[in-house]
Amino acid sequence: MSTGVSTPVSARVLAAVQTILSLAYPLLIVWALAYFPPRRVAGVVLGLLALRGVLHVLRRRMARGTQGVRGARVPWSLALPVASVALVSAATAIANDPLGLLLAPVFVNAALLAAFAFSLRREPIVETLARLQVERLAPAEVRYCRRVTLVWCGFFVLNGGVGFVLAWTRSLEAWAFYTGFLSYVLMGLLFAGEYVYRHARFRRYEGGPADRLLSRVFPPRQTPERVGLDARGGDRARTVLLEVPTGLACWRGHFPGQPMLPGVVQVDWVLRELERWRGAPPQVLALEGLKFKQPVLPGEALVLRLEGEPASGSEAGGSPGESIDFRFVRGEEEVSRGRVRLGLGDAVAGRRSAVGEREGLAVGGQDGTPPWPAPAELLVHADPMVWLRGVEAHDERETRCLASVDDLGAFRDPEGGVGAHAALEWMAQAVAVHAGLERRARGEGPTLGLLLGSKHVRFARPAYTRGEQFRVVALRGWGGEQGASSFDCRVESLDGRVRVAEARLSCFVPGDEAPVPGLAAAHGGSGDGAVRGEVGQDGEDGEASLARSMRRGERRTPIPSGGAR
Amino acid sequence: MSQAVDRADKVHAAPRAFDRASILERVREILADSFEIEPETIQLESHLIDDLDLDSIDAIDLAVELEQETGLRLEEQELRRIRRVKDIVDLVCDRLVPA
Repeated sequence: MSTGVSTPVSARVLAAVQTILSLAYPLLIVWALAYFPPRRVAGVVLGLLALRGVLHVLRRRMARGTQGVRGARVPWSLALPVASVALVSAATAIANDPLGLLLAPVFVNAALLAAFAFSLRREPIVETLARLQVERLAPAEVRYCRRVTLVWCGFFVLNGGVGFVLAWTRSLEAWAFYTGFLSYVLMGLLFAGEYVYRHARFRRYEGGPADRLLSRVFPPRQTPERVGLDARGGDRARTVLLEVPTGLACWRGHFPGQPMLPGVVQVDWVLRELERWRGAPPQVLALEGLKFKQPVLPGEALVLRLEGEPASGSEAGGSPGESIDFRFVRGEEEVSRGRVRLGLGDAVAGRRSAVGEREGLAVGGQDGTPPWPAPAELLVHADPMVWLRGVEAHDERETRCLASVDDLGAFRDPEGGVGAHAALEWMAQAVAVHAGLERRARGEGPTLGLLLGSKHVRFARPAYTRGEQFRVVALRGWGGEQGASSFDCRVESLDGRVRVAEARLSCFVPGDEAPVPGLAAAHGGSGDGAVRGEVGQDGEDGEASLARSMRRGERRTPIPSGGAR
Repeated sequence: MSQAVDRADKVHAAPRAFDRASILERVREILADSFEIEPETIQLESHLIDDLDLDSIDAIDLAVELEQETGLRLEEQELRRIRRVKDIVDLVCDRLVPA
């Protein structure tokens, strides 16, 4: 009953009494039949039903009178059993046979069965209930809701059937035990079982009462829902139909309240699919032409297209120089793309680096300057997507962070290591930390930034092992006054001697009060996107933002480095 | 960075070398190298998005490449106004060769 915020106490007491009377109906009936003739019991039931009807009409009148809105309408699925109970009660009263009274639970089940079964023609009742609780449902969840609705239909058939047999044979005690107790237990068991199964299946934890326990037993997912495969391309191409699970581990932290699929997870899915395709873990030498064009949201259906010329036969991990193009497509729209260059080798060592190194950036700490804030305070990311451990040094052009493989939570493989592509997210987060520190210097809190792409991400090694620690450096390159920026990034050993990854990242880094684009698109589902809004359109506040960036240019006071631990 | 500055200095030292034709040639090379485009398809009138299949993410790389090549620091507004190859050439001409 949606009587609004201020439900009067009397109404609540009344509702409670109704519920108790309904639930205890079988026991009350059996008790009453032991003392009174069926006719009189049926009369009382009829009287109560009439009273309930009158009260309901009164309440609707009151609601209409005081609030000017229509009171809650009773759905026919609830009105029907009431009406049928009233009918059989009347029949009982006339025939003086308890059968009518005993059939009441059968009618309730029949009505519920009808309601659930008919809902399958449009939106299954279970789906309707689910949509009241969560913002979006994945296609797999929609299918699941339909199946659960069917299961309940089956339950109502069985439950009603047993009730009918017991009523027909007029075995009062068994009838009372089943309809007044056992069927409630069965209903509870079915509900609880479905609840647990649902969480095991979808791993979706959004504040339910048993989340902490269940998420320990059934941890959130890392991989997409694979719903179809077109392998006709043989060794050269394959197309995989995916659904982005709503129970993905990264949603909670990337970003809180605003889930978007991280680029590194998209690359991870590509590599997992490659491994499946090739039967061996891919040795990634480089990622090229990476573009993350549109935000990918929970529950969306994607098509992953892989094209390339994988080596056939024994050569595990790919042969040098071989590459695979990937595209994620949503409907007609490409959301991301790139190329995975496979091979055993070192894309970083032995070649002139495209990524600049600067001398003279002070790594402080000795002069008593306070340590830099933790990355978690500088990023909008939250656990488990805060992948940086600390800030080592920072000035307005460069930020150096510390990262450990051990901080990557469930993104790690069972041995505690991660693939090289984890470096992509490390570098992107170093850029975000840089932006966060710049904002902090202006007295602003962290805001959302986006990794848009990279022409080259080069790796020296295919994986990092547990316990390894790295320095992640982001060096500001070209930067537009409205947030489009280029950063030269690298991941290196703590002594700075071994570079394990490098990339020039294109990012959206919101500047002073810059509006964050793509948010509306992200919420709306498939708006014409984040990226286009950032760099593609003519801004209206050109003057203002130009003035701002000039103002920023004037503020050249060096920021002390500190807190290298 | 310092390389780019050197190159920009050379530009001013030898302005005659930077007529529109040679700038177009250089822009063509940059586009071809950076975005894997066939050089022949890159003409003055080529539309970056419609003809050359570039997008807004490529625009950032274009800005980086132009800055490295010429020492010119494009503003985002200028970048947004670029539609055709011609616009890049005009921009570089205007900024490099003072009228």
